[in-house]
Amino acid sequence: MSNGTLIDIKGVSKFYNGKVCALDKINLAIGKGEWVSIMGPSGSGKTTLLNIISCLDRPSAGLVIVGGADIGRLDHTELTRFRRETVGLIFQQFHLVPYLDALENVMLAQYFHSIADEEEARQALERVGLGDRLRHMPSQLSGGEQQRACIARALINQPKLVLADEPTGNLDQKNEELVMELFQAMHREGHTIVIVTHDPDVGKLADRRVYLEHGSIRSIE
Amino acid sequence: MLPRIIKETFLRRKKWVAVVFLAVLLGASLASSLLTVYGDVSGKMSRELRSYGANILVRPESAGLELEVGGISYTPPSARVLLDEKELPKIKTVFWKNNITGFAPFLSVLAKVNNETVVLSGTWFEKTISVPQLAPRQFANKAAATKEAPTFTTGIKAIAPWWRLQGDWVTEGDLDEAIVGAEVARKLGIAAGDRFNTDYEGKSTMLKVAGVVTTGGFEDSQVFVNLPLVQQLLGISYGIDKALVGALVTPESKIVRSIKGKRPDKMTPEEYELWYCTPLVESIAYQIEEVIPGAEAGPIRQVSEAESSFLGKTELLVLLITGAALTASALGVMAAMNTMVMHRRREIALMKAIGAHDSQVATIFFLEAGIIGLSGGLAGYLAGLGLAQLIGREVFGMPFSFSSIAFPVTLALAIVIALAGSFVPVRRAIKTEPVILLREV
Repeated sequence: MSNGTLIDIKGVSKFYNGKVCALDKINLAIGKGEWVSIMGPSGSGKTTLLNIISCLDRPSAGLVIVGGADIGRLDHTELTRFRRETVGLIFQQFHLVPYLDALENVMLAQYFHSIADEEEARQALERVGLGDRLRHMPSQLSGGEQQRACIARALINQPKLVLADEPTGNLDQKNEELVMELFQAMHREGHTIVIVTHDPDVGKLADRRVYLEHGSIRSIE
Repeated sequence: MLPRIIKETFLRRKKWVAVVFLAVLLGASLASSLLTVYGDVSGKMSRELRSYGANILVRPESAGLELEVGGISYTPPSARVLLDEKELPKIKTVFWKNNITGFAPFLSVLAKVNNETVVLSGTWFEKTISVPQLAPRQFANKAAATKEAPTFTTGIKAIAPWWRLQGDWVTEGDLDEAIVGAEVARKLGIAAGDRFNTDYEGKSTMLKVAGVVTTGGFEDSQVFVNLPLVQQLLGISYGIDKALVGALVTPESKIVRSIKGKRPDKMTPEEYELWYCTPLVESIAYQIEEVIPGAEAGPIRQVSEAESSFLGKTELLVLLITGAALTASALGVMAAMNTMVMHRRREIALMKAIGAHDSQVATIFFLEAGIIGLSGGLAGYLAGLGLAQLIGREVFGMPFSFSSIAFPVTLALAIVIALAGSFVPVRRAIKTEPVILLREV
């Protein structure tokens, strides 16, 4: 399962406006190559925890170490570089750039990382079953196809860590299965995966399930 | 990738791109027109101001010791130091010869008319002279030297076109006619067409009043005749007290501070070259001294200083208006870019979330702004050129000449306007953490 710790979260709290407590002294270690599902009701702090792990947000207190780097100590530029080189993000709302086609959306992540390589981007889309949808605009793709394009974009720069926020939240059963097959493939390839989900069927595919409630860890299975 | 993003922005946000383009165009067109005006306004205004009198006085070098009141020499004729009027055409050979709009000699005596003492001034009214071709400091080939000498028409009419005359001008060479100042005409009770007798040291001359001049100045109390008549009265074959020269000049503010007020012999060679090659009233006066031996030329302070101050203020006004127009344009760009950036916050957040650095996001927006700035600048330059020609025709009665500097400067200003106007919105957008933006969508 895991070969050493990739993510080490120690006593992490997050307050909004100094008052609203979204996370309360969270302690969690995630091993390299591990698949962890973060579950819990709405407002339990799942997305906040994911945002902190992905370096999109900073904790109000506590320590977050990802790949040996204390991300709380990184400045704005270092945090951006860390996110670009270490993390692949998958969103519930897909967040594809509407005026770029599927291929260009994947190449955009390459462009910000280093250099855009059309052939590599094409292969990434073929891998997620969109070889015949390369030049389709997001509006011409189904929800499942958009999510697969989003997965191809997340994986194009070979990130150590894949973070997904409700990746199947907007998908029907068939597309959910297709997407989860991709996650299973990623897991087999050794990617560390953290998924935020409400769906018990998605959650049970993970190595561990972390249940949050009112910003605290209720249980870990 | 970058061209694709920029192209899509232009296609998808036509309205806001058009607003930014218009803001840049307005600023650039005003800058272009005012730069064209600025480049030529000194010349145009100086030409206009020349209508109000000469600005350089040329006198004999030692004339400073003579007794002179109100510009009239009271030194006895035998003790007077005079200039040779035959030297005056050389004024049209100085380095800034094309800036010389006219000159007129003056030789005055105090004559009696009906027991009244009046100043009788001999001058040129409208004399055509031959301009010497081989000027000092110039190298001319033999072919040029054998060409027919160019002519130049000068005199009172050239340096004082503002004279209000009742009657006619004196015919050049006619020694029986005079132009009488309004004050003299009133005292003597004469008008155009009348005849009057003058007496100078027993020499009596009957003159016909060709016209009566009113200027509100010293001219109202003088009588003007052709120069040879006064020379005959003084018993000399040539000679003048002074000459007044009208020259198109540039304000002193145009030259570097270190040269101002410095004598030419105290200047470094570089300073001297700059000073000599700038059409300042002092440098043109200096050049006149160079070509007329024994002459002392200097600016008529009252006129030249007022002119310099006026031109300086006009140019400052043009610069201030340009600055205000550019600022207003940049504010317009900022407002439009701010809206554009706000509409694209989701896109910015996404770019940052997938690893875009601040500089990469800023590059996209600044490139878009730069392209709009460049195109707005091009269109603005053309519009400004038209506007400048309109200003030239309506205000000065002639179009402004093409300014080679206006084109690159307008383009540069347009790009600066677009970038400066984009700076605050882009900075605000890229400094926002992506997580905040993602929460909003």
